[in-house]
Amino acid sequence: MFKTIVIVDDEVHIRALLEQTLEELEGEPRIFTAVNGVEGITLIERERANLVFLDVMMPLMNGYEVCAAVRGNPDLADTTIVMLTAKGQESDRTRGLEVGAHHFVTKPFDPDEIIALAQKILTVS
Amino acid sequence: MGTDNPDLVEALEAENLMLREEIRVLRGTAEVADHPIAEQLEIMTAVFDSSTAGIAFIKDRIMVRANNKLEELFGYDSGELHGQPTRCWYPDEESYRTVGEAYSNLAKGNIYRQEMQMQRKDGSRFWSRLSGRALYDDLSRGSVWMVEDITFEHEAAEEILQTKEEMAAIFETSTFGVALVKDRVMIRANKKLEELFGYGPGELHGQPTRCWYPDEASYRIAGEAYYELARGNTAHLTMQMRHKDGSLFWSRLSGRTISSNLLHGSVWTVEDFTVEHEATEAVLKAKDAAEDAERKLRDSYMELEKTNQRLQKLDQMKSDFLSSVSHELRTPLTSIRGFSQLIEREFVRSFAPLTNGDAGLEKKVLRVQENLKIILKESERLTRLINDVLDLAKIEAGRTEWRDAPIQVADFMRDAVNATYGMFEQKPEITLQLDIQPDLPIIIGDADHLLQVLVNLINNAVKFTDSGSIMIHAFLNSDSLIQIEIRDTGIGFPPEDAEAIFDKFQQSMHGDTLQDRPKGTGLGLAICREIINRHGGRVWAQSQPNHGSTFTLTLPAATKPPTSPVSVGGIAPVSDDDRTIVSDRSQGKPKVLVVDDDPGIRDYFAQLLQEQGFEVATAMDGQMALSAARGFAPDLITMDLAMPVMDGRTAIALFRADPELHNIPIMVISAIPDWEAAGGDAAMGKPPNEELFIKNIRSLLNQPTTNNTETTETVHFLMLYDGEHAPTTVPKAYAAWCEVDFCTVRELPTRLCAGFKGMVAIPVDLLSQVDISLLNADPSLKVMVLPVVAVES
Repeated sequence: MFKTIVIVDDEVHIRALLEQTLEELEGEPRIFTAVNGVEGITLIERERANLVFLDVMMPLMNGYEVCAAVRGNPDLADTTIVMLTAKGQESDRTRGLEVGAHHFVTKPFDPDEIIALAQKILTVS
Repeated sequence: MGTDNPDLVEALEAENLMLREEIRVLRGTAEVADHPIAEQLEIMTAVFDSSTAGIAFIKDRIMVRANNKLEELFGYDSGELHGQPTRCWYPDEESYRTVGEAYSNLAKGNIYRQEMQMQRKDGSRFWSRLSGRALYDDLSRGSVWMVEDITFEHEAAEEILQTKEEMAAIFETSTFGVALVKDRVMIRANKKLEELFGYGPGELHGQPTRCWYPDEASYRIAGEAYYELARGNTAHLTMQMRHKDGSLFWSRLSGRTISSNLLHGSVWTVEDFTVEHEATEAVLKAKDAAEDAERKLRDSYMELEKTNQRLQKLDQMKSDFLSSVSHELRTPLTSIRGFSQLIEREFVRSFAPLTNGDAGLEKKVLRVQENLKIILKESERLTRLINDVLDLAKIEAGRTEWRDAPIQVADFMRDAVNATYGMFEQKPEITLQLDIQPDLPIIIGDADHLLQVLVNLINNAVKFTDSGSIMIHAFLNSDSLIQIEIRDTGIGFPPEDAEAIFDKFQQSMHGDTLQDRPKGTGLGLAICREIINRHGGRVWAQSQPNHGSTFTLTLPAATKPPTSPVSVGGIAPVSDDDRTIVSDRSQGKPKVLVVDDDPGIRDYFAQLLQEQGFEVATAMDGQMALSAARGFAPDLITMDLAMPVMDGRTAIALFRADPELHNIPIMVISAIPDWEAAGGDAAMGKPPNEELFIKNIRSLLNQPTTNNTETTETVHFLMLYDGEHAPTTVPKAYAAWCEVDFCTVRELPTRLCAGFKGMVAIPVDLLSQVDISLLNADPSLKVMVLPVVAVES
């Protein structure tokens, strides 16, 4: 069965970068992208995403809110959330943990790191 | 009677008889001739008897007759002087002779007058005025003498003379100028006065006093002093007077009338006090200057306060700005880095194999790969730079979240070595030596940040060393500080750069262009220094080019080196066998421990609190506070934050971790901007408002310890918040005995009118909007100022 990954980021280049990076994953997962939190939560729910890359600072609905919404949905109990945070913002991490994020990747991130992390998560789930 | 001359007596008696006969005849004649002579005689006899002067009729210097007064004067009995020679009047032969010589004058019809000393019968002397006249200008007919006792008169005269002499002496030797003035003309002036005004001897005599004054106005002002004088008062004036040469001098002028009568003239003293005046002026000026300085200081303090507030606001803005800049910079950086990596991978995988052995193409493939690596490396460097800039900015702005905890030096050094292990693996030429003194005391600090420092220093050492060794040595130095040295055998740097390398964007140029580009961000050591300083330590470097360098840091030890086996977890439990603290809060004065490194502030708080009836002990740093608290068992602690040896934040952490001391309320009083985050029960900025300070202390003292809640009444809190936002402040933790309600500043009066009783908690940032005097006026209200804690939602 194909795994589903949703990328939620308002930056077009970051979405492209993540998309291209994740294309290299084994098992050809399906990849969806959303440009804001609202679109993101819709996609995640619709596609029952296995893995979500979630930016924190976004218009309409920020990453924490999206994360909290995902965690509040029992249908999405298996969805793993990786938050993309800025370094030096320890409070981001704390809040992320509070709303139920599983992993944190600090921008700027290393594509190899993303692939390794995603591979691990998708293999386990 | 001394009359051993019977012949003389006989002769005298005969004469007497003759005289009586003569008198009788004369009386008879006088009676006949309308008695004019008899009357004259009667008058003379009356004079003779009633005179207040002694009178004697003398012939050949023998008293033929003497009146009662004369006998009285000389102390003889009545009639005793009769027939006596006048020699008995005189104390010595000489005065007797002197008077005797005057007789020749009497013969010429003159009256003799002399003041002299005479002698009484008992030998005592008295001053007398003696006068004599011969009868019919013929000595042979005898002479009449009068003797007056002028002792009093004489003494008075003597006294006057004496006084005059004394006055003259005073007058002339006085260090004041003295003038006797009549109608504003100098009748007399002493030498000093002449000197003062620069006149020659006698030159002032008869001069009007106008010459004393520089102008008409001051002459008139001095003239008004005469009204004072007329009322019998002494006049005192301080004014400038004029020297003969026209120069001015400051003088003190005092005047008084003679015999309380202006008509008798007045006496004036003049004192030159130019020097004194100048000194006084100087003192006044200095005082003015001091007051001015004080005012300026106060002004600049207010200004500073304002600036401080503004800066805090700016600081917040800066912080927010940095946070968004950080985000904004990272996004493009992520793209640059990520896509370069993707391109490189794609290029190597898909395009590089297409060269088909074409040497030109292969060369280009290599070039492209190299260039991509440069982009990657530089983007990594840019990332580090952004991280470091943010780190430093946060530390400098005091916005770094420090998580202080006890740290075992050995553990944290091993962590650092593990973190840098990768670097050593890349440089197998370098050996690592680790030497950690056993049983080192614990330090209190933020483990992550301290690790960052150590990793940075070790990284640097590896970076600048190509072969040899890196030695890390940790030990307790002679100042009881924990000292960590990182010594390498690398390229080193010139000693004169030892300070500069800790500056931002400063890297030693190593004296040549060997280093084509800096290997780090140029901020690492600046960050290290900030972190170590914040922990109350020091970091410095020593080096010689090509002889390696040594980076040394010291950190204050939190505890004394344990003598028993090291206690895991840091703090050795305090045995309470010998000094169990029984804190009896219901009796005696409440005890306050004042902790501050500034002796002036310690004294000030101690005095203030003692006046308020508290028992006070003081400590000058966190470490002393901990040991003092065990012995003194305070009911409350006031805690400064920035202190040497152990800062307040660390001390509070240790107080909170100590089973014996964790209940003591701590009030943070500090000037450093993030005092609110230090973990105290309340906090006040420095300098605190005295009234609020005491109020807060009382509020905290009324607060019972949390472990006897059952005996406690509920305390009602009314927490103020900014109406436009959610409550800006919430108490860190409030116990069951607290009932907390929230209210906006605007609502406050209504709530008070509605009868709220209890504690009004005011976040410090809202303090300016609240009328504290209103709250203070109501005894059922207590005011507590709270530090601001950002709410996370």
